[in-house]
Amino acid sequence: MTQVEPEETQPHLLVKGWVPPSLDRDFTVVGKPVNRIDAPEKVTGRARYAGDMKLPNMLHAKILRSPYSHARIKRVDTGEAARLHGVRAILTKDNTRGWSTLWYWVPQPAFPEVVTFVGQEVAVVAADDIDTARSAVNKIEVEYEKLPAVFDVQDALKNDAPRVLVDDSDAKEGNIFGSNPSVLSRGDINEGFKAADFVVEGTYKTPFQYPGSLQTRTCVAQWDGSRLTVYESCQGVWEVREQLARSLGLEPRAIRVVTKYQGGGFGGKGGAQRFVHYAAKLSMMTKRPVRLEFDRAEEFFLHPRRSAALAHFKSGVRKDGTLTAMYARVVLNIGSGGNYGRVPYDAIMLPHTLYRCPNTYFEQLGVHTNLQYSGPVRSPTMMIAVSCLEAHVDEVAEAVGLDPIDFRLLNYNPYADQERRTRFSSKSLDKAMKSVADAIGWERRRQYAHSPRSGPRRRGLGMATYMYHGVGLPPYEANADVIIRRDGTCELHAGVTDIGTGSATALSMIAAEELGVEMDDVQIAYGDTDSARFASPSMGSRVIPEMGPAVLQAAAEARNRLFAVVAPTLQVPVGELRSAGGYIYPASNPSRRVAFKDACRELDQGSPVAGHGSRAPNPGSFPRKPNTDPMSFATFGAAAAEVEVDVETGEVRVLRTATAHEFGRVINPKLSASQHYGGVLMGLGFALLEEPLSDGRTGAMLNPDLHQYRMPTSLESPEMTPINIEGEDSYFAYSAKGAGEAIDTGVPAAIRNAVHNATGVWLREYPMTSDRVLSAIKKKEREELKTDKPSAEP
Amino acid sequence: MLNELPPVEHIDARSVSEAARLLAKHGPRARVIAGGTDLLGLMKDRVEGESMPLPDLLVNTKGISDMGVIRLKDDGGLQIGANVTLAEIQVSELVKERFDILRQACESVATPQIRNVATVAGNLCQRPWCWYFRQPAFDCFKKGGRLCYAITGEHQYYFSVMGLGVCIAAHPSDLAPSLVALGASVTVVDQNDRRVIPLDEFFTGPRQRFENVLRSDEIIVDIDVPSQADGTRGVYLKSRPRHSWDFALASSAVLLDVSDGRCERARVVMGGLAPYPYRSRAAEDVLKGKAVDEHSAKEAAREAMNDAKGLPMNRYKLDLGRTIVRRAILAAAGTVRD
Repeated sequence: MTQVEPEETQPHLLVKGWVPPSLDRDFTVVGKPVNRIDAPEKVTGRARYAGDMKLPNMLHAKILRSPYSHARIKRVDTGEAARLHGVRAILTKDNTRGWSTLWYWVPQPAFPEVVTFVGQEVAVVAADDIDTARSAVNKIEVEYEKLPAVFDVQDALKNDAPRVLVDDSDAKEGNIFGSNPSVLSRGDINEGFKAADFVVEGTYKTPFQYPGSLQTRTCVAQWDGSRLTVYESCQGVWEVREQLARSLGLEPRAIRVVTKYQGGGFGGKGGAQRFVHYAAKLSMMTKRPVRLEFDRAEEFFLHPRRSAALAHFKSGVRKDGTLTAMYARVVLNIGSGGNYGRVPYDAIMLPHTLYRCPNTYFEQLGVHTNLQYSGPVRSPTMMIAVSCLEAHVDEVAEAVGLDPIDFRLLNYNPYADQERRTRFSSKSLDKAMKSVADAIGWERRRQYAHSPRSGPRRRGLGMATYMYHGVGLPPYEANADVIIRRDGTCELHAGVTDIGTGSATALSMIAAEELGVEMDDVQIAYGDTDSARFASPSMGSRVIPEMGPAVLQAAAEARNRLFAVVAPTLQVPVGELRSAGGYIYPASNPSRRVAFKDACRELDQGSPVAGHGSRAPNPGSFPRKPNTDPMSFATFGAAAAEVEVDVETGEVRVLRTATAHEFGRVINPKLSASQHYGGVLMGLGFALLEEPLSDGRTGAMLNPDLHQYRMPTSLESPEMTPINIEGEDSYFAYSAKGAGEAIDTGVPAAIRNAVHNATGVWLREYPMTSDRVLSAIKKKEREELKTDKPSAEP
Repeated sequence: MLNELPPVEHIDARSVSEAARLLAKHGPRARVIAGGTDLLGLMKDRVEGESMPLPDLLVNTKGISDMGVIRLKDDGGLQIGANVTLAEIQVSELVKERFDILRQACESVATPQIRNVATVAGNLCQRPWCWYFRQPAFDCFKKGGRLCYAITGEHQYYFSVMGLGVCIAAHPSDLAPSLVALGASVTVVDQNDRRVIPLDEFFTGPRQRFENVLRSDEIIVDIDVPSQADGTRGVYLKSRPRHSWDFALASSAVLLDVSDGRCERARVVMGGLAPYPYRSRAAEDVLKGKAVDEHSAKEAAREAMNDAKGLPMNRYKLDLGRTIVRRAILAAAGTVRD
């Protein structure tokens, strides 16, 4: 192992250009439990979502979908459909040749010659009303030539397996994304296993998971002859604008995209996807506004879902508990495609980084099947990585007789790159582990494991840890502007979409803090490409770490310009002025204050003062080149769960959870608690309930509904303790990093490990539905009867 | 939401005879609607086939006041109007006093929102919750096709392990096991006549397209629950994947009449395990004349599941069914373990 001294750079706020010095006073807004600013509109029904837009002469569009999982489209006859009264336009592959749409950023023909999953788009009709559109869809005749299909990854990896993407260069040979596995390694894995006293291995399965947003994806596109306006339900208005511009051959400035309110995104509403392209094209063809809304089934199978995984883990460990070797092969079922094939290291980055281990070999394969696209859903592949790794690590800890937390601390890795020994900008995972252990009452774990197993309901405790990005993503282009007007209004212009996380509230708080005004004095314009400069989409926990510094810079600059206006009056230099709670005062004499609003009156009517902020990139490059260019910015966290398992029915109840996330600093504890609660429930659904099932012969999804695709209800909700681990990280605005994605990741393995504590059974397949749990318990009981050996106590 | 209903005519019937007349006149494309929690979903999803055409007429019976009352009969039995909602049964003092098992069954159904509109007759007549049946793409046996897709496909949850036949969907009703255990019957009316069908003759088997003997021109007007002997105690237990809005993987309605420590009369009926509410006389015989304890309950539960076969994906239901029956027996006897 070569040790290289990391380059020392002075931590500094990640912005372009200069930031006025900090006000150097206690916070007046940040850290306070402020209500979300859009709550009144939302709870009173005044908020107008994309689906609420009713424009004059608006047409309604409906999509015709493939009934087959793999078929060549020989002929599409729209004759009869087009003759239907009220039908205004129909799009098929025949009248859109050469037109490319974007799936996230992957260019794709607008309509395929060969459909590769049930539900893929074959045609779209725009009509005067939705009934007519639906009737027309039913009248389109399509002749298909059925092709052999494959749904299971192991089948898809066989030599004679049908090729899923015949025309796609992504899969040159066979069905492996990029034709080869992605590999991360260090040291010598064989030597590592030789040095081990115990070798522990297991194969883990994780399911596809859906975002399950309450609002199905909807847009209204309006072409007025020179400009396209799209009311969308997307996660990033700028991203959609850029994608539409590329696809439709328009100048980006000829497109306006608006998403003010969003009924959930969770990754699924990233990008324009094909449906927005269709609505826009239909509007341009008919010169009328076009509305396209998914029904619930479409929301399931036309949006991306999390890949399913089959992961084999094998670790070598010494008697004292130190890891000597770690190996994993993670096979992802990515369906007919998915941009997450393009992040080829995501499922193995975590096992490569989380523990100190000199010898590792990890490989990840994305495998194409004739199922729907896969893509981002809250911690896309990190959820898979944590759920498998942290399940496996508990088995390793048990093999050496160590408490799972002791084992994790023993093998704790403080480095971003273990070989070069580079540090993270901050890492408090040990603190996170200890906090969840304290909160859940970890000391009871031994008692549960060793208590006599009487009665059918048994309790157990489990935990898991995670690492997640949450520090911004390339191109790190986030811009914010603050304008202070003569009437005392402070406008914040931020080009992000608030997908329900409360980012508009949090960014307003940062502006208010830095301006020294009350929250109510800040008016934020967001979710509209006409109201702000470029910002990246809301995904990857990037909004606060990426926009935060830009907003802080813009506010500080605007504030200092106002200071310059009032400095002569107060007879102190600008650098000695402070502001807080709506007043400006000299640092040395706070009683000589002027109201912020009075100061604003000195501004000219037509010349407000403004400040501008722009995010600078994180040091280091991206995509990460593992081993040579270590990630040194991240967030960390831990989850613990207490469960009660009914060993006679297999039912698992999660009684309580504790989740600790390293935020840097929490801008708003109410909003951060929401992320903990939502993360726990999404993790609980993944752990125990949510599983889409497809018919093995046709590949058709059998439960595209909220009834049998079971998401947790309030009755499944445990008592949840959210814990925020705070600490300094000067790269970010007030040290604040992201939190939206990651908190769900630790929950499934924590629940799974708790089930083992309660029952002595290792479950290796998620979700741990009652039938699986019961079958596993009964299997163990029968095996024990057969071998007549006493039940193994952990 | 976009899931529009197909075009359909809707008539508010003012009386049972008017409703029956409309059904007779329009034939199988006319359907009775009350709560509509199942019917409207089937229509929106376009679940149809040769033996289940999409309705073009809905005859609404919600306005018929006689059909919405619970009445205590002179003999101590209960007459429940077909359109009484599950939520109304849940809070009815009449039900709670002597027929608490019915309240328990209602409480376990779906969600509060659904229980507020779903009716007792609708619950008995709901169609299978087999996902192949509910998906328009599969023309399964129940819709008029020839095959059951679930036998060779996915059948983890709402499927049978007993009474197997062409269709393996388990009967979904939570009320049916309790009402069968109580010896209830339904009163059915057509435009000319009225007949009373005991519930244990009401449900058909896995070789029929429909789950019950009701003809398309007939309406259930009320459900008749006979008076129960003093000291009869009933328990309905249900195991489901999720604690709300889910049907039974296995359920059990048990009525016991225990005096002087001996079981005088027992009724053991199961749900979620067969294409119809499955009464086990063998289990009842085990209990009769005995003290109800861990031992006899276990023995009865084993008998109850004696004919169960299990399919590749639902063998766990054999263990689960035994547990649920045993626990319901013990709970009804008042000797709840743990």
